[in-house]
Amino acid sequence: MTERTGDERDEPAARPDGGATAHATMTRHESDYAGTARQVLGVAQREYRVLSRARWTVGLAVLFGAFSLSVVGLTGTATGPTSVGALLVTLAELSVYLVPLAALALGYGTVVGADERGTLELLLSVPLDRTALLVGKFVGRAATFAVGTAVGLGAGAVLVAIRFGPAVMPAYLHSLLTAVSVGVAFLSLGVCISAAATEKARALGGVLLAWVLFVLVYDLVALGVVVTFDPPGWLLSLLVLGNPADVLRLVVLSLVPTAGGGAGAVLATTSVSTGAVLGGLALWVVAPLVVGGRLLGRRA
Amino acid sequence: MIEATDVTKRYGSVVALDGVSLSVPDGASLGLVGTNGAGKTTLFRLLVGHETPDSGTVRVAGVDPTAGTRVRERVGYLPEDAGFQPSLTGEEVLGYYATMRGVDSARIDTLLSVVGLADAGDRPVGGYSNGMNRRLGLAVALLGDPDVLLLDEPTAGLDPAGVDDFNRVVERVRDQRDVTVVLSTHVLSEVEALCDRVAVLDDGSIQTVGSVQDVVRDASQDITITARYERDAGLASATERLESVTAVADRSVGPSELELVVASDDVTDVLESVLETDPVSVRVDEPTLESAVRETIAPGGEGA
Repeated sequence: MTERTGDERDEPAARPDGGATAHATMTRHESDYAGTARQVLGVAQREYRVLSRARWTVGLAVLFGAFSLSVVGLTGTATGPTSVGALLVTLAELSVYLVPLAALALGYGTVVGADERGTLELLLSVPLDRTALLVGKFVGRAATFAVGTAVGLGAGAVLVAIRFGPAVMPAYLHSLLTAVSVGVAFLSLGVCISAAATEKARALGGVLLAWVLFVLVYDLVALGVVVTFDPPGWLLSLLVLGNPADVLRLVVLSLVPTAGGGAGAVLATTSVSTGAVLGGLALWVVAPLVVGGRLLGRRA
Repeated sequence: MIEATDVTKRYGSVVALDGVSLSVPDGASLGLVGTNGAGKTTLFRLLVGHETPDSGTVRVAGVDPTAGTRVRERVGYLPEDAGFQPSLTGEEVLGYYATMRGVDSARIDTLLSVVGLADAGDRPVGGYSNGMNRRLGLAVALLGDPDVLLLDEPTAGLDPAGVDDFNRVVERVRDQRDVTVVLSTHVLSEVEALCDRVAVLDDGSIQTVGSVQDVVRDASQDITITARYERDAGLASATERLESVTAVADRSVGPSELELVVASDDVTDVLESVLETDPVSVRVDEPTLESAVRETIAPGGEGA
């Protein structure tokens, strides 16, 4: 048995496999924050690299590129939107289905997939805080989603500029940015569901249920509340911010005032400040991550 | 130093560990053996801080494993089901873990050489064999220059050559470093080759712990004498003559063979009696770690 003192630890003996070098070069004096930031960035970079090699970035770009080019290309035809305003609303209405689905699909394997593959336990055996791990994974996936979606929808922007002129670009880019932000919020929800699930199949079921609830059911319930109770403005705003998908609709409708029916009509009359929209979206990103971090912390 | 004192861990109604106490001095190498479900992996997960004991205390290098991430700076852990992203190369995997540990990336090449993957470091891990994957896992565990190395069934599923390759690396690391090794395995020859101590875990309890020699000696005193005869008549005659030898604890007759189980104190007397029956050959089997573990886990040789 060999006892080593603290002093000896600071100046370890040279070892044949370079162990002393490792100790000596460890950034011992870096602050906890700097160390955690380095780890989060490391996890995020690795996540982005792995997803890129799995063709996620390209796949998302192709999906949203085909989507935006198709919608823009149909503008002015017998079956497509008739004006720029109609084009943006059409893009938003279709994005409401596609963006959450793509984001949730990207998020559901984040934790439970790593657990099933055996990478999670090995990763948790290094001095890495579980919340930092989750945040790093989320950031890497968010970057993948943002790049893929922005490139795909950006392809549509080129066609929009050619057909309608550069004056339309700010509104188009605003809705693009909102779509990406809303997608990141749904990604956060997917990551949270992944941290809660014990099997990948259950996580898939969870995100599909979330998609049905937020994209299909929520508006029906919200509309029912509006029709039945005629709620005050603040409650209406809360109802909008309670669903990231509605935030996307709201932002686009605020850019292009368009008369419509159903939930769209309700949204068009809702007044939510930009600050509230940004705050609501930020909450939708942060809250699921906080819950997910706690779930990961309790995960055996 | 690893110290577990009266540790109990339950999962619902299942008691995974029941009052386990264990001490592994610095620099020692302990083989942890037992049947599937005996509690080996649970013990590892407690040592690395992935689980919290329901009662009792665990200390690794003087640190409570559940208190933050400090213990993981001192421990290298290779879980049984460790996996890697198949699209990453071996160098990228090690680079990633080096970033997580704040270790200089210059160490990666050295470690790839140590585990015999220097030529495969730039290849995607998805193309690695099981043995190469396990050695890469060992390299990951060694990245932080650990004081304690925990290896949970590291050679499970490997072919004999893969087992030999892996064990050679562990042997080299153990000899070159002042590292405490805890290794769980079902292959008892690994324990004999790599460990100076062995603990037998059964049904969540430590049944015995000590040096390999002590465990063999304490668990099983019986020696098997196998005598082979040229003709059936010789076998029948020997069987009849040896029936009167009372020191024989157990006997069985096979085709041209007579097998006698005797206590070690009586082996000389019984052997003399056997030789008087003119056998063609006689074989004496000393107790092994395997027989000792079987005896420990299932006294009387039943159910193991």
